[in-house]
Amino acid sequence: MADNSMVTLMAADHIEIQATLQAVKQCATLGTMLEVLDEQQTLGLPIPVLEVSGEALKKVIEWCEYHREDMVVETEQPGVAAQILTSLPQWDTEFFANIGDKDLLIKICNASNFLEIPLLLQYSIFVIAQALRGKSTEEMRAFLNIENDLTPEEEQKIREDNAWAMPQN
Amino acid sequence: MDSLPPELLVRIVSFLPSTADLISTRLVNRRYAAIAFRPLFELLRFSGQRQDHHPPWPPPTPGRELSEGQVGRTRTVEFVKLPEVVDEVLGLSLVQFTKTFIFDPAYYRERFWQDYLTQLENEMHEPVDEVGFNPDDDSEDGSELEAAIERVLEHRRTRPEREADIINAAQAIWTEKIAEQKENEEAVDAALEKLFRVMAALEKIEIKSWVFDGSVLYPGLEACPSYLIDAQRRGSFPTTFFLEILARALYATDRKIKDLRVSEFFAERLHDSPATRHLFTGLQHIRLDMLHVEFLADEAPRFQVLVELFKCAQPTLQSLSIMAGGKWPGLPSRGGHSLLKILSHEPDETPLVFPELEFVQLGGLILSTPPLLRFLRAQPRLKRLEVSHIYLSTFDAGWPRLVEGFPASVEGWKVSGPLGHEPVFAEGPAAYNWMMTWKPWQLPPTSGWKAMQRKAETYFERIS
Repeated sequence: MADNSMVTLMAADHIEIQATLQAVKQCATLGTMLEVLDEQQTLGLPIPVLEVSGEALKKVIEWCEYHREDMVVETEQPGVAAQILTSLPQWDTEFFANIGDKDLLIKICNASNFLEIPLLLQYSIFVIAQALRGKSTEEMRAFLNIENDLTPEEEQKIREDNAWAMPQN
Repeated sequence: MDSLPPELLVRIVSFLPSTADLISTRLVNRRYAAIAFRPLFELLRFSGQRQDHHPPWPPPTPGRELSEGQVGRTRTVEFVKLPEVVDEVLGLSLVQFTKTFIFDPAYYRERFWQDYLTQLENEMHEPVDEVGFNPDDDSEDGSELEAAIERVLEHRRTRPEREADIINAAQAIWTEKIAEQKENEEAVDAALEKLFRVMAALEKIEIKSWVFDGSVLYPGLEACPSYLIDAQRRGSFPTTFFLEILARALYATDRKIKDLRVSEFFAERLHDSPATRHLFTGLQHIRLDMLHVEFLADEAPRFQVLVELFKCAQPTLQSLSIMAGGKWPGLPSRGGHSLLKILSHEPDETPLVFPELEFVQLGGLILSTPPLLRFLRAQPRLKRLEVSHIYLSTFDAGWPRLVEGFPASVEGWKVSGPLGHEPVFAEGPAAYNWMMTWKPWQLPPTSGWKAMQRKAETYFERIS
């Protein structure tokens, strides 16, 4: 199959999304799947991506289409401290700014993890971390959709330890 | 609603460089408490920063004590006060979780103020920057400009005299502090041993120079950034001395680490001793940043001290970084250099083989191509290379030849900064300005490598 040929992806909610093969190859999970499947038997059939919702998959493919010419770069390499990301390229900044909804952002992050798209995963993690900066504990819980399961005793112990971590001379 | 799996939470926390954010994160729930615990308490720094301010010290500014992406505890301390501070820190049970220990206490080094005067003397002979002068000078013969230059030079010439009282007072304090440091050296050794006995999780040690602004300590001084003064004389940096002190304490407590990083490393101050051998044994990651690289020169004899120490790390070393040239300007010094001066056996400089070595990073060096290739090709598992500010001094053996000779195990490599090769004259000096610039994207696809530009870096991966 040529890299510019189109494939159809089917999301968890049965929404179908068209993508170039080249863009799909940004997803290591799907790239590997396509390599091992018998092309003749699967040609024209939608590829199931049942872990990802249609809404998230659409955004992921939008990102992959833009980055389809890029080399897939491992963002984490053994034995080497990860390079600290301090900002995103302009297009990617706009891409994430347009998402708006924090739940969709978390879905994209999970989808890029499942589909193995290292750069999109790194970028979405960065954007989530940026959003958490300066937030109180309660605001963090609300952003991350998390319930507090700490007992009052556990909270007290954490507060005591944290006192030592506060900047002092 | 979706939430994130633990492996992603760890990565999100790594992008939260503020202690306050991590403290908030720890109270989110049990899982977040565990994940944010590590970066909060895994790093301890004994730093001289803020010693250039008189107490009470201002609260630390996030990002000043620790580089971006690092959080943890910084304790401002003078070398001589280490025993007191160690006792204080040991009173807190959290030290047992320290994985990274950064060491750059305030250290009053000898001859600092003589070196400061040398710096002033050298400045007198530096060209005057005309950028700030009045652009409206329309004197036909340029006499106004000449007069302005002369005023700057006169200001420089009279500076030692103007600052003499302050320098003498500072010198007196330094003399006192230096004597105190010498008296307390054994106590510092003992304190560090106490500390390392408790640091059961310690994996990484980073040694930095105490960098301070002397004009904050002594407002009458025009400018006195310590890094400029330290660079006036070879071997003035105390970091290699710190390395040996820490090595002694690790040896005495039989504590081993995996990762060692030393800034302003000065090889000639390093000794081959049971303590330094102990320090290098088991190391997986080594990074040495240095200004002076004469011991790597092609014509120099093998530097046996480092050869012996690298042999101790031979079975375990996974990543090696040799970064020269300093921060400013980052360009290499003159002459061809060879890694085999520190990474080879006698008598014919057979490269040391590191069976686990996967990553090599080189920066700020002029390197002869054949020994570099011999070293790289001897490493059976080498996967990745990173180079910046590297010039290849061997005539007719430039970057394409080097790349062609990369071992088959190399999966990718990355370059940044100015790169050069092919000396203009075969017999000319080995200096970056006598070489041709090499642009990484000049490498043709026939080389078997595909280039990708990202910001100021170029990545290469094999064309499959």
